[in-house]
Amino acid sequence: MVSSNVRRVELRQLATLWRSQAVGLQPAAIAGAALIILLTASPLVNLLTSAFAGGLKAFSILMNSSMLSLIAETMLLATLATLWAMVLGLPPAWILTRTDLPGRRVLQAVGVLPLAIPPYIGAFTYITLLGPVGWVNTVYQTIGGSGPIVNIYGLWGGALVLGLFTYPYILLIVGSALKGSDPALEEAARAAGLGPVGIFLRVTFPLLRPSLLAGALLVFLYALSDFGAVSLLRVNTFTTEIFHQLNTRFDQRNAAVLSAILVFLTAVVLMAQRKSLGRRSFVQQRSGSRPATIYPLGRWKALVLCCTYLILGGSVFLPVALLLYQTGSLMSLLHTLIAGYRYLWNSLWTAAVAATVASGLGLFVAYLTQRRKGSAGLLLTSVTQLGYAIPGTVLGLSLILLYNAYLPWIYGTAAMVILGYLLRFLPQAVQSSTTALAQVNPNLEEAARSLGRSPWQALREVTVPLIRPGIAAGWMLVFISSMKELAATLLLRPAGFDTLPVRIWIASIEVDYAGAAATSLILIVITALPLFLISRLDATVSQLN
Amino acid sequence: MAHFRRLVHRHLSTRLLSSWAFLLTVSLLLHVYASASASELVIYSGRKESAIKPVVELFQRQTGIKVALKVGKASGLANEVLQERQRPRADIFIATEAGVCEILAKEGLLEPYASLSARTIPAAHKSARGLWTGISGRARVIIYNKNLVRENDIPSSIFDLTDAKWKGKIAIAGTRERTTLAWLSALVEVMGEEKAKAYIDRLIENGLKVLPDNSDVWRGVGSGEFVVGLTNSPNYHLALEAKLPVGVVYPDQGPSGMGALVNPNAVAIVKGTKNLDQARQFVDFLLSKPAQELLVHHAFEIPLLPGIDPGQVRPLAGFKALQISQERLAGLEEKTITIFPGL
Amino acid sequence: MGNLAKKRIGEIAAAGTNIISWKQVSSPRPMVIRLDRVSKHYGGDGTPAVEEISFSVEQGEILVLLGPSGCGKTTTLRLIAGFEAPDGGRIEIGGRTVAHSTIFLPPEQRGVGMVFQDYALFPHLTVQENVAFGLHHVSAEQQQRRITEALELVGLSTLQGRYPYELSGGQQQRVALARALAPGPQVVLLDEPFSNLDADMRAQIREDVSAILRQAGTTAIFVTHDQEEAFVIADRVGVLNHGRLEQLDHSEAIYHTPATRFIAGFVGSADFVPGLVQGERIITELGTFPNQQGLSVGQAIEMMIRPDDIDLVLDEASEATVLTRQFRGAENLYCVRLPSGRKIHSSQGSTKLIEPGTRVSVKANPTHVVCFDIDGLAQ
Repeated sequence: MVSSNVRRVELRQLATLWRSQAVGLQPAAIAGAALIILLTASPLVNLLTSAFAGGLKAFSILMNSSMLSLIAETMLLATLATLWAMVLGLPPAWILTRTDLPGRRVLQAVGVLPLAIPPYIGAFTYITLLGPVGWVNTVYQTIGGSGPIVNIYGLWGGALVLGLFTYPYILLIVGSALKGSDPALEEAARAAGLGPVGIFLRVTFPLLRPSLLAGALLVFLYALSDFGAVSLLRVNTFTTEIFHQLNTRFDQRNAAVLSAILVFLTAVVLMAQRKSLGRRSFVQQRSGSRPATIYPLGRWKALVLCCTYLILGGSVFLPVALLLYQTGSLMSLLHTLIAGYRYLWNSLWTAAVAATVASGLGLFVAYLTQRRKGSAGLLLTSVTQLGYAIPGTVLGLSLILLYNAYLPWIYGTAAMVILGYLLRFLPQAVQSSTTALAQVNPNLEEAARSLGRSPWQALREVTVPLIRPGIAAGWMLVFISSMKELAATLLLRPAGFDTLPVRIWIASIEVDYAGAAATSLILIVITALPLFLISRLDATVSQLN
Repeated sequence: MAHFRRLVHRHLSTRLLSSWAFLLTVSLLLHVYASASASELVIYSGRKESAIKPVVELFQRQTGIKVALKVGKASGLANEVLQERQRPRADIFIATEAGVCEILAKEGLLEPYASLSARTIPAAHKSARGLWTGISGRARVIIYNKNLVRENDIPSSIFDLTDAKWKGKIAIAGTRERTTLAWLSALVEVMGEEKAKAYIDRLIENGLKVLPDNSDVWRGVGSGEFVVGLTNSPNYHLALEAKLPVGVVYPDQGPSGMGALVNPNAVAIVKGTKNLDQARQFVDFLLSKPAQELLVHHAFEIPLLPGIDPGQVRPLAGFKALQISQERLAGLEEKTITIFPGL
Repeated sequence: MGNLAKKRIGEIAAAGTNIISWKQVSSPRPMVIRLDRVSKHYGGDGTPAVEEISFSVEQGEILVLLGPSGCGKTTTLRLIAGFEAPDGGRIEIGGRTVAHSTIFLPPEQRGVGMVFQDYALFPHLTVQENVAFGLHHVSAEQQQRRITEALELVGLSTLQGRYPYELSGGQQQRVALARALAPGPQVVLLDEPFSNLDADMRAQIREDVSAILRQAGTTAIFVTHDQEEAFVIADRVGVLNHGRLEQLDHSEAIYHTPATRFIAGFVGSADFVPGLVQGERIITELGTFPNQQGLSVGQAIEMMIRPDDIDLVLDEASEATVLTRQFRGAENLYCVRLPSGRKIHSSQGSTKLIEPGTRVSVKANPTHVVCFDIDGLAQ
């Protein structure tokens, strides 16, 4: 029978693999892989188990009308935010790569900066500006108006702020696609007589659809899982409802059920995103060195410049200026720094440890996937991707449930916070290492081995030096993301252990605007620097999650 | 990009990186070990940080005992105490009202302690079994925007708010705030379930706006976004401090009125704490004059202990309080939540 | 630097040819590589990549494994190097068994040098450091000496401090060779080393590398799909097809007396003409030929005819006509239709021009009569 033949061959192969170091499935590697799978999958599994523990009765809350409106509001928020981000991100992407706008190279570099401002800080600054007791309303009332004219609270405000601080994802991804695309197609269209607009609509835009979709899904995913901004802006979404349930009800099961539904929704979006990315690689191959056509703007130059600066202003300059103003003086900033040095240290330390462990694990997973055949690597990569699919609030909850029950000596220490960061942002490290490793010729390691090095030595002396920049970039990505993380930290932090984002959030809630502003500035300064460094590396565009 | 690469190559040799990584991992393990044997006093506070922090800092200065403070919503923190019952992390639990303490007490998670200072606290504001003690109180009041309400129209009872002239202008904090929850339970206890539900329904019909937080309520009323608000007495003083044009009414004071509900801020010691002595010290401290004065003058709370100067705050004796036991309120909580889902 | 010793093999052509070449035999040399029925399967369906391959390579010999892509030649190389483990058979290097049932020696312990198709130079190391890479177990001054020797051998002594990206393709390849040779390996394996070079450079570099290897006296195994390359460099050529070693012989023998029909078609161009064995003679459309291999009477065979074996003479009476003419610089390749309708090819000098449509008579003068039976095996 064919099947038994196959099995026999496989067993023989397995035996050969086992004893041969050429393919090298050492026990240590298997143990490591198993550990990682356990680490990353167990919280989610535990969460789902506790959600379904109540049986299907627990899901009867789905029938509740308020649940349906919750789903509606969450999806609507995410959709609106995504559309807004596309409006803000797509035209600048085209303008900065296809026109002769003055200073466009500088603008391309600066376009990344909004990502240094976490949406909850953005929300807080826009509340002080456009909230019911904000500046605009105060001014309006001073000049005689009655009642608030503008109110940032609510669904529209939430979509506005979320889109405003996530449009760089679209800008970067689409911009990268535009930069690397083959100009021959556009030239052909030009030869056929189409003007710039026609070319854009008939040739460029259809080609951009994949990257636009990828960016849009990224923003959508972000909006689904965001907690800080939506809670400050009083939008009723899944994450805020889960948080609410945890804080007012003594039965965690509702929260677990809501979490399960949210995970399901994000998993669907994530799969769609992966599918849209799957066939393309983000390491663009330039076909020839011919640059793309540049369209002169002519008399539109002033207007376009204005609009670009407006967008940049609203997402970077205005919030930072507001923060500076609210902080008051340099003295006040220093005072906050000194009084809160402990929080700064907490943030730095947890982020650094999480980034380091993530880099190590990421390298391990990447190596297993890239250099060793077999499904172990693929399984590992998929499991580590879970971090993307689980919003911070849900992750915090599932870690609490799991570790309190099974590993209580870790529960209640800062290790939980680090664990949260690790699980949430491990995919970034894996992706960085994988990209870096993919660019290293596997023949190099074989050459090293033919020259007398063991596999471990070959890795150390040949591969690692070559992928060091990639690993460094991955480290910084995880570091930045961990520094900005709010939702999971709120749930996981032990008593007396606050991080900068937690301080900002508490200060926002307790309306200590000066304190919130000062702490926000400190956080932004610390994350902006590595962000700027990374943005110079083209290959990490796809990983800025 | 090439520049970055060269930077990395030059400064980040593998040896440097691996030793750094090793150090960080070691520090992580050390930290885990250290926190297992920490001797800080861990306080879970449902009270806002701005209210509780000065008291905690004074305590630290006076006694030298280090405190680790975790601020959050009282129910959420109570949840954590429940979760941690096998290995209690918290030593002290402070809540904005006593119902949550009663719930914890029912689960057997609190350590009884009858502080000497607590003897003079009225019985309604401390646990009969000594499981929790009231520190200070807050009354449920109605605040209003002085610019938008005429002298004659000032409501004197919560039932006045169903009048059409307040349509769309009433604000209240939702049941995420435990004081609201307690107030609703009190309504159920005093009026009976049906009448309480009818009243709230009429309020909702009258455009009652449910806000997440009490600070939203007083700011909203102060700015004119709302005209009246149902909230706690300290918020009136906070609004005054912020120079907002608000006035306050202690409702239902008449001979047949039910009185204003007083919620005591409660402190309890968590069972199984390893720092029992220090915890008891803290409770004593909370009930001592310096801490009480901080709470009253800084956080505008109503003193429960005799002999504390109330300052601007109307003392207990200055108004008619709703008579109800905290145990009853706690017992009604589950039902209240189901009766008023919209809040 | 080793001795220069050339091995010549005597070969006697069959009657009807006049080519005789003599090669002297010197004392027998040790076997450096020995493969004994080595097999390797990939994938779940057990398609063999390499099936029961056996051959041996002598000290100082250059063996070329020739075949189309997917024939298993690279796999064989990787098996020898140790990057793959065989499913069956035995591999010996320098008399030591490196792979056999339970024994497996990893690549770093085999003393085998390898030059990859894309050179695989370490981009973060200089030329000097690249070449020094395999010398970590010798003393510093020994290292320096060996590096200098190796670079001199390949003619790149002046480029020690450069990085690989600063070198041309040919230079990179020579560095790769120097790197592989510096540790003094028992055998050097080269995987299609010239395929990445521009065509005009290929011939020159081929000669250079070949000379370097002979001068160093190193045993080498090349892998290539280019038959011309194989014939020029090799002492012996092994032709692989679908994982099987179909013939291992000297270049001339492969060309003139291919063992299978596949080899006949793959190496050089060939046409096949059916014939019938009748005693001492084989009857074909192109005439009768001596039965050199002693084939049995009545056997139906196909005879191999190369274009350079066919002569064309203008003949109005003939029924064979020229169909096309292809000018190829040194020759004209004609496609001729025989009276039976079968097409054959003939290679003529470039100056002899025959227009399509001309009637010609076809004369076949093969130096060897090579016949294949219906299974494609040489008889």
